[in-house]
Amino acid sequence: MRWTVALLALAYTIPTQQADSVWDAPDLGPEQHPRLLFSPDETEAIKARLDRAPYAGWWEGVQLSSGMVERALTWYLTGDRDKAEAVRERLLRCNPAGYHCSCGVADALQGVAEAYDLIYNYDGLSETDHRVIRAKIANACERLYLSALESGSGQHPGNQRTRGICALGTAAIVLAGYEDAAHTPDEWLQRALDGIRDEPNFEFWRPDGMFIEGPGYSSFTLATMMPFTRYYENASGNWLFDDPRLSNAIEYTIHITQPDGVCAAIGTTNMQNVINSLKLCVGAGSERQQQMIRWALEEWGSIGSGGVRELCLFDDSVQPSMAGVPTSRYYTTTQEAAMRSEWSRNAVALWFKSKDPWLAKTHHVYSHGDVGSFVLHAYGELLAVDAGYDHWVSYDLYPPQLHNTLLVDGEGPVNETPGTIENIIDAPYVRSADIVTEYAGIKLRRTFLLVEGEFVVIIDDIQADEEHEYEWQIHTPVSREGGEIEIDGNRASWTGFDPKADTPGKVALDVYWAGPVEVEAVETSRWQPYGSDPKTASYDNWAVVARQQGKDVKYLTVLYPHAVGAATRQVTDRTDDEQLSLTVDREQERVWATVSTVADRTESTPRAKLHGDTASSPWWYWIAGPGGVGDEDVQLAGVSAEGVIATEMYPGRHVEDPVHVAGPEGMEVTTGLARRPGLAWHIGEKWRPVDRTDAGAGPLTLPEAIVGPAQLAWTRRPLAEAGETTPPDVVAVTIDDQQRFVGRQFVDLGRVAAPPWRVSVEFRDEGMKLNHLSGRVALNGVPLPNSSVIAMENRQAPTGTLTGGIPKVTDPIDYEVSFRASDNALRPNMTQFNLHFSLAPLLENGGFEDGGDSPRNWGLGAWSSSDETKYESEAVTDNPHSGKRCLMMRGIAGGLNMVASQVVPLEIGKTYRMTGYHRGDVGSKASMCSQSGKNQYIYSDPLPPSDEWIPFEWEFTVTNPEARLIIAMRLGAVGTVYYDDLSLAEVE
Amino acid sequence: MLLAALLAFTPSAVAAPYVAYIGNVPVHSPSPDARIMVADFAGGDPVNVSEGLSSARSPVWAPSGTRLAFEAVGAGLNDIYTAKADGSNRLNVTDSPDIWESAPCYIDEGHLAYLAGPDRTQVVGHSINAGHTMRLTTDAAFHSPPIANPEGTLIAVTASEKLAGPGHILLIDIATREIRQLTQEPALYSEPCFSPDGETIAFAFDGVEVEGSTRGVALADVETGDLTLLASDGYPLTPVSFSSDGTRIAYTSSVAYHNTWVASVGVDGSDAERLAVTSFHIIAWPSYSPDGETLAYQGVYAAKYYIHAVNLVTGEDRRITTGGSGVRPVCSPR
Repeated sequence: MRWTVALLALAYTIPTQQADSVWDAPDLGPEQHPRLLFSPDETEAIKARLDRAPYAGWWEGVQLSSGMVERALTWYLTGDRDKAEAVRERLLRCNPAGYHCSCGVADALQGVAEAYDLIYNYDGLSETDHRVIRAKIANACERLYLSALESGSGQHPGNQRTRGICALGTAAIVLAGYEDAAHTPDEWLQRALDGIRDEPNFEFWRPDGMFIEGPGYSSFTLATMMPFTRYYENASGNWLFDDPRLSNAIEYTIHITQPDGVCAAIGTTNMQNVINSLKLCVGAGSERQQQMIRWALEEWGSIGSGGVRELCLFDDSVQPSMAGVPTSRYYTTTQEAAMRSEWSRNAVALWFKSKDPWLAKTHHVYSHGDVGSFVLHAYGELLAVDAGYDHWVSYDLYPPQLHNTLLVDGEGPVNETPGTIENIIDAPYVRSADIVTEYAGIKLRRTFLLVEGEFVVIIDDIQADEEHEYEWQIHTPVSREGGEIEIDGNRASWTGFDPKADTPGKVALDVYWAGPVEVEAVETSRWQPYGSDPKTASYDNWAVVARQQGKDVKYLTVLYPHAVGAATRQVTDRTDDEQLSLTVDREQERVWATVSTVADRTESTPRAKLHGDTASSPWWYWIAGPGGVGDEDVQLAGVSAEGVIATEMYPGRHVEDPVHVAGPEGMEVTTGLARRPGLAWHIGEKWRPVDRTDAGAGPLTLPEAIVGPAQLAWTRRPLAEAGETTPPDVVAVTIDDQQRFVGRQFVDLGRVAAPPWRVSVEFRDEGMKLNHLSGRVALNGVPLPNSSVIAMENRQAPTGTLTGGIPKVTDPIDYEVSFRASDNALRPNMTQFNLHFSLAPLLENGGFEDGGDSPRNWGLGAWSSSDETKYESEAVTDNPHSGKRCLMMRGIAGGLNMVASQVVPLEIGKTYRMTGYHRGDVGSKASMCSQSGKNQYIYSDPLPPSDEWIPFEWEFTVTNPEARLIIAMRLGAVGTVYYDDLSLAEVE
Repeated sequence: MLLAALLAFTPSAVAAPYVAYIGNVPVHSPSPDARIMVADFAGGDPVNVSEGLSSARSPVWAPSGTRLAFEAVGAGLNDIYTAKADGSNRLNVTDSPDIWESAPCYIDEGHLAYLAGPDRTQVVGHSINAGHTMRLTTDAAFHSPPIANPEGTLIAVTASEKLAGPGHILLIDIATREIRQLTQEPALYSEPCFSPDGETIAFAFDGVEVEGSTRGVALADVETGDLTLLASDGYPLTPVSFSSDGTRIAYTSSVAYHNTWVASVGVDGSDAERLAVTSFHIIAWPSYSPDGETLAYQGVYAAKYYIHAVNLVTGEDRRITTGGSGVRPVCSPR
């Protein structure tokens, strides 16, 4: 029998053996075409894609496009000479060298190179044509070659410079045989790679993957870079995202994405979808990252949208999977953290940040005064917001007053204020980290905890030389113009809020402060979530502050999100003279959070602690030292310095006894585990035996500082086995004992008539075996009761089944059920299965209530017009048939072909009935057609003018085989019509 | 009625001096629909003189300043066009749909020179009225745009064996077609610019040592080829511009291949000056107005190209590109 104690320290993925060789361009060899998107011998495989999803929809768009590359591909695949001739003429007219700006030539040169590569063998291209086009491309390459290692305006390091030189690399691959320029294509390609990797440029990607210009500009960069990396991989076999920084950048992009699919606007970025910029990764690189990105695209992206690059490069055989992807990530260079309860659209997710000292010192423009700020998103809605970003427009959104920071006499951190992230704990029941910083005459240690994946605790430990007035700020998404917040003593509450539509959300956040604070809503906040223009994208939003006066002050705050109307835990303030204290209760479960306020603590009184109790028995502790818990004789768990320990007091749920610890070098760690005699330890990236130099009973001593997350475990198994990192598989999923899906980790049932009532997911883990108590089933982010037990024949069985009884939901919304299981590895490997289904109507927002003037899900406009055309379309509050709004379409002058349209998942061969109400002074129609305009194109009978609301009904059968079909309300005359309560149903 | 109609279609830029430039050049586009625009310094709206043509570039002025030539695609491949400053009397000078012609320059009011060839080119002389062409070079090479001296007897052009590679500045005697190599060492040379008296040629260079500097702006004596260094921050990818009195040279300044700015220097190397305008991230391609008081230049700000003209006496800086983008301004000589 072998007993081993081991410790794991993981901050973020650091591939240690990733070869520098990916940056060494091999000889391009003889020129061939096409080469970028596919090789000639792959042509038939590309053609075979054209009739099946998702490629068929993309191909439809490609054929309709007037873009140069789209036309070139269409010629290549169909032989349409008109397309080829149009491309030829355009290539002869292009100037891909541009006029001085590297960023500005990126799309131009890359597009020209792609088009020429595809059309190279068009027999309408004369020798003169080839020479002209090649010289234009070569001229652009030489121009970029000269400046690829330089930075400056229009070619700033980061997005601008990288974009331009990725186009250089693309063009080099296309012109591999060009011999008439000062430099060879091999030299161009190597210069492109050297330029990207040139440290003044490459350092914009921090080692942990954060791009200092923010996720928005990361996406802008990837628009050119991602195609180049695929082309380079096709030409050389080298995958640039094997470089640790770029590999981490992929992971960062995933983790910075909110559960609703847009990136968290923390720092220099707005809320926008950045996941789609990773789409071309699906087809190259590590299988794990491809599966992860495919999952993110299914969950957050738009698989439905794609063009030439996606058609040729996206590999739809990659199955979505988040197996083995932790739900937390800590950035010890960037000094940030991202954590969420699960991988789903409804997770409880928290981001918080300190400040990379390098960034604070060298790149102020990418640094807000936001040390200690955070963003909270839960159950599909944003509940605590950061300032947002107005790009280069101003620095108005940089001050600390617009971030969730602690103000000191009205002052806060500035963009040059550095801070660190410390004491990272990543336990199943609590995840935490400290932000440590100094500003405005104080030292601040702010600790964030995501507790049981359900709520957030924030502890502020302030040390000052003199008395100050402190303001603990939290910024809400609630517009001051159209929304409200509620304050009741030490509690503040609000819901999520859509400021574009002035619509309150369906998720609430209750914030509780312990102790003597004065809570007040303040009108000093501005939020700019969606774009760079302050005039159109910024909102005056409510902020709430909790004030205290004093010197060494402490805050204890609980942020408790929950669906409006749902049963919630009871939060109670139990503060006394010695501690701030809040309890969070639900039936027999209680989480205690306490922060000591006494100056001279005893060894058994830690700085702060949380513990989770079940039936009054603590089953886990989180302890911030110095200090611990226990009686005077025996300290059950604790640390001797400002470190943190998290441990299960009465373990048994796991094969081993896991202890999570982080702290400074020399810190002594006391646990039941640590008292085991005769041990030794090492610290490393992987599980290693502990080199216990202080043999015998007593605390262990950290031989070096651990930022974390680090873990101790007592195991009787060989480390090579216990430290395995292979996650469980999903064998099969059975829905209502009828539908069965094999080997899938993501299933979307689409619209269903009734929700499934029972779903069973069979997991398999041949190696470490499943932990039978690690199950979790959640419906729209909320764990279902009694769903933690995985049914197994015995503990050593290779498979187990997690079954979820789905509540009988009826709300007409989208639903997501997540099933999670872990294995028995020292650091458990998790696999998740996600099931989507929808009870939302076929035609969404038919009452036009959501979205304000611009009704959500509907596209308003005209499909043709003349110079004289004038019209108005919007959702109005003028005498709706029901609710508060209806749709108004008003034709005013000129040629009128007005539409209000929505893409609807209609199926060929099925019959549908559309119903609704209309009124107006002119006749109109409803119609159904394809987005491309091809094939079946039908109209309802005319809807006659009427002063009053009158119902209409239209039944039709779909015979159109096109991928994307549209329902549209149509107005082609001067006059005004109104629609309301539109619906669409399949006729059985 | 007829008069009113005529007035309605009369372009607003009618008064010399003018500045011609390449318009419709969005930053993120290869600008296939670039056009030649002409604006007057008085402030009228720019006129599109290449209406109906595509990819119009390389505007140059006739010595009289009343007409300009440019390259553009009409039918077939690039041709050379001339037009009056208001866009009227436009003429396809070459009208050769199978030959790629580019980079025209005026030799005199009745003659042009330009490049013919898809990559390596020949320098060709052309009689506008007679329609005759005459090849002026013997070997095809990668040429810069040619330029004629004020007398119309010489053409200066850079020529290199490799695209964007080091080459020489050549002088072509138009009458005899004799070619003389002006420079001694191969280097990257900008397209040359004759002084108003025709005795010297100014250019930017990189890769040859002139008075201890391997990069800069220099003057070459047309007779002897002797070089004089004027500045050590030349940018050989854009031309320099002589003031009409021949006392100063404006040039694109950069010590590397980015971050350019416009500077000027006396032809004796004195009074080096950096243009004091603040509206842009980067500026380049200066061109003096005929009276020497105004300098037109291209600038980039917030992902858009603009043409501005700065009065060197008052400092007033005015946008020429009203309502559109523009690059590569060239001021008329009159």
